Amino acid sequence: MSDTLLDVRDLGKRFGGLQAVDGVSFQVRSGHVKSIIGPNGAGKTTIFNMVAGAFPPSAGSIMFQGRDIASMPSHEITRLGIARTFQNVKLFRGMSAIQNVMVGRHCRTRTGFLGAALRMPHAISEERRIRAAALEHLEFVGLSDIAATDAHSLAFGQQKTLEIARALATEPKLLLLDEPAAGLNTRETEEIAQLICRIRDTGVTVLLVEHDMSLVMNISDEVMVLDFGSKLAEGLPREVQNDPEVIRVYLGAEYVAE
Amino acid sequence: MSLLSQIIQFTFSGLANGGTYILVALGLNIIYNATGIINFAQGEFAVFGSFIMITLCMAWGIPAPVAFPITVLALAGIGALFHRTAIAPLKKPSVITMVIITIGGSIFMRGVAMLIWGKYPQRLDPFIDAPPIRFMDAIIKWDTLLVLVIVALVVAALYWFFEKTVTGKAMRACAENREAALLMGINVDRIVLLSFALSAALGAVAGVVYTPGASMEYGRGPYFGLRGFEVAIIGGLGNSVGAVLAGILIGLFETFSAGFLSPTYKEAITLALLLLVLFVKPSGILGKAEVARLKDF
Amino acid sequence: MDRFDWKPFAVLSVLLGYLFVFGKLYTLMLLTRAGMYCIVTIGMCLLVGYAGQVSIGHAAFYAIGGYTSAILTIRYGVPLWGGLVCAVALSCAVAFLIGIPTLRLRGHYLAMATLGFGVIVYSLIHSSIEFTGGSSGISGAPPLTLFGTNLAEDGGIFYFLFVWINVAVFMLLAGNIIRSRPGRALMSIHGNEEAANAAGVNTSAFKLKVFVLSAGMAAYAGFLYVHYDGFIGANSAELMLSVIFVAMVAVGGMANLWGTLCATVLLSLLPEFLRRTQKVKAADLPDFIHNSLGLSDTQIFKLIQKFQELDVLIYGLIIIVFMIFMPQGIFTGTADMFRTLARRVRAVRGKRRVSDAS
Repeated sequence: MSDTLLDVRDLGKRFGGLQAVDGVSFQVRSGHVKSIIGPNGAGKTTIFNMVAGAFPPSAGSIMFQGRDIASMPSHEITRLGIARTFQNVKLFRGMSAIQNVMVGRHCRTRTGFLGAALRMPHAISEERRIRAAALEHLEFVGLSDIAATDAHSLAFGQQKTLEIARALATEPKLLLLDEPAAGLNTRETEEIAQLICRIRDTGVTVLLVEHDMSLVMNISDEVMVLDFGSKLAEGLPREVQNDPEVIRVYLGAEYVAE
Repeated sequence: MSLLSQIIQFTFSGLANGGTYILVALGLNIIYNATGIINFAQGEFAVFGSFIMITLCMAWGIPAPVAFPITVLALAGIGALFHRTAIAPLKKPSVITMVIITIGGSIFMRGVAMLIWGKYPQRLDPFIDAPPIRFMDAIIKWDTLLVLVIVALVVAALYWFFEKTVTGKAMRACAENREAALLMGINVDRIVLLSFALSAALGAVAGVVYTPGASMEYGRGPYFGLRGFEVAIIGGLGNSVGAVLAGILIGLFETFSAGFLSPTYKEAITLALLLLVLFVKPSGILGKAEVARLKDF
Repeated sequence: MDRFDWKPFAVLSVLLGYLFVFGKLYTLMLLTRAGMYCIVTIGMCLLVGYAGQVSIGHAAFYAIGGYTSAILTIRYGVPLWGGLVCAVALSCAVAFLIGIPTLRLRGHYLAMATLGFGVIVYSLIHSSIEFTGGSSGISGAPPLTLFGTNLAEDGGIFYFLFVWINVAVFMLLAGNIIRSRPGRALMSIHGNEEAANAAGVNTSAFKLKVFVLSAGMAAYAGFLYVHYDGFIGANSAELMLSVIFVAMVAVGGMANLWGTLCATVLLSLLPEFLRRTQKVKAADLPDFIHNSLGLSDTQIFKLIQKFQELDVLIYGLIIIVFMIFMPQGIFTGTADMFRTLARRVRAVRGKRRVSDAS
């Protein structure tokens, strides 16, 4: 038990007539980087959305540290220690980079309307701590020099990194990254890979959805392959890469030669 | 009057009112489906339709069968103009911007109506000037029956338009998936323009149908808009079949609660139903719960 | 930017001090009203501008505040502070009940629900005559007294001061809120609600809180109004007033407290400005107008009279024009305009210098 951070069992989701996810079970072990791969529409993001609480599953359970979090509202799941990024970046419009990260501190802080309005001593000191922590997270991802820039005017790669910083600011035990390398060039992808490794080294477990195979195979401890909403294969990157079923359905002929 | 004839009486006037609300709600749905926004100026389209009809018939003496299509065309033009001047100039508007702009539009149109037609109610003569039908003790005006026929015809025509014509199908495709429609080579901007024109034309019919034998004043817009919204919500936002059912329901509910509960608090009671529905089942009687939560509106 | 900015407050107090000493009584009266509206729109700015939740029913909360206090103090002899507490509490409670169902939903169901709610309140006030006086309203509310002084005396110059001190305090408190944790939570809801939830913000709770807060502030303004004027009528709950409140925030540039303040003062003076134009007599107009229009004096008089009714139309036009052409609001927008103007002037001067040198 102590080693398994996330335990998903028989997870299912129906959208009208479409069975997007069908009886998927998997575990994520503490300290690991686990990747979910599969063709478009395989149900990867749907699983993410259910783990993060964006909508409840139609079937199955999601245990996080021994607690069932299925159909818990997403802000409570975040407080329990699961943070996420989005496939198509979702930053807060009209707020600076550091303010975006400061929102991430929300669930670890307490100042309410009254305390803030009256500038109570505890509110002032907490505000100072929020700013310091946000700056630290920006430094960690390498964005401290653009702290005051409006988030939406940043380059795409910076926006994606900023989203990771915002997620890290919630102090997650499990970080869900939804295609962090999509739309990035090779150099940026390399930087993201290093960043993910550094995040893992701080003790944060990572669950990754990604299309970039070399990124997945390089940094993952374990890989799960989805196809049409069900699990096709699961195991070490090497094993999955050599699984004939996976090669046939997903990876394609060029990987057979490798 | 016996209870039974009271019931008959209320049923007919309820259905007639419901018909008006259905048309307003369908107009709301068309714009909602095409753009994802709720048009707060929808009620003003009905007011304008009614006033233009009044001017044509009462002041200029044009017979109603001629004046009616002119009014509808005029409103289609106003709807298109509204889209071109207030909605189209914004490139990537947020929902909140659109809400505020259509509120601005409704207020503006209200001001124009007040300027042109004045502050006092204006009358429109009944379309059919024959003695009403007496059935048991109930009195049913010919106009009420005419209204029901017109509403039924318009709903049928809309059904035909959306199911059978190319343009109608294109509009439905836009509602289903905007990006896909764009890729298919559908001119989305033109479709949105058309939605506004069609929606305003429907508003005109609603206004015209509501007025004969009654009167219209410049401040009635929010009343139409709210009833239309109530019907659209209860029927499930964007769902036209639901809107027709809900329209009948609201029309009846309104007249029966006014007749049996309290005429003074009719307005409050009917709108309380809206709040109740938002509380219990915001997706409406025919809508799916997740749609209401996930759609932008 | 995140630090307390005292400069606008300095400007505001100098302006108020000047008006207090030199302003005409009539001007002060108009500005007292504007100040009351400011209290409503500061709350609306947090709700609409910062959290991005449009309410078109805040006149109802304003009216609930005014009527509650008026009825309690006049009919039941409740002391003023009791009226105040009940007014604000009732308004907050009603907002809470309306807010729970509508704020759970994404997007702007709130706009329609509050519109419906506003119409309900208006029609209730209008029809329950024995309780609210119907269309003739309620008069005779006791004037506000503070430290034994009747603030409404002497034409209400002290009321002017009192209301605007209130406005300044609310500006300060609201400014503190937006520069801290709850303020960021509100902005994140407007920025992207889904992401806000994922970042750990309980968006439904914060939307509800700010909605209740703004309703309470509107009720407080209603309370201030009724004990200033002594009278409150059903028109205080009118839809038009609710729309004007939204317009004030929109013209102010949405998430901009000082912009909202400026827009509120300007827009609340608009009807007065239009009324003044009506006082212009046809005979005062220059001859060329008579000649070129070919209208008689009475015709022109009628035209001018119509002009006064334009306020509804103009409010609508202002909303549309500002949303399309100056979404950053009157405050930032004007500043931007001056900045571009200054840059142009500098550029022209620079060119001239270059051409002089050559």
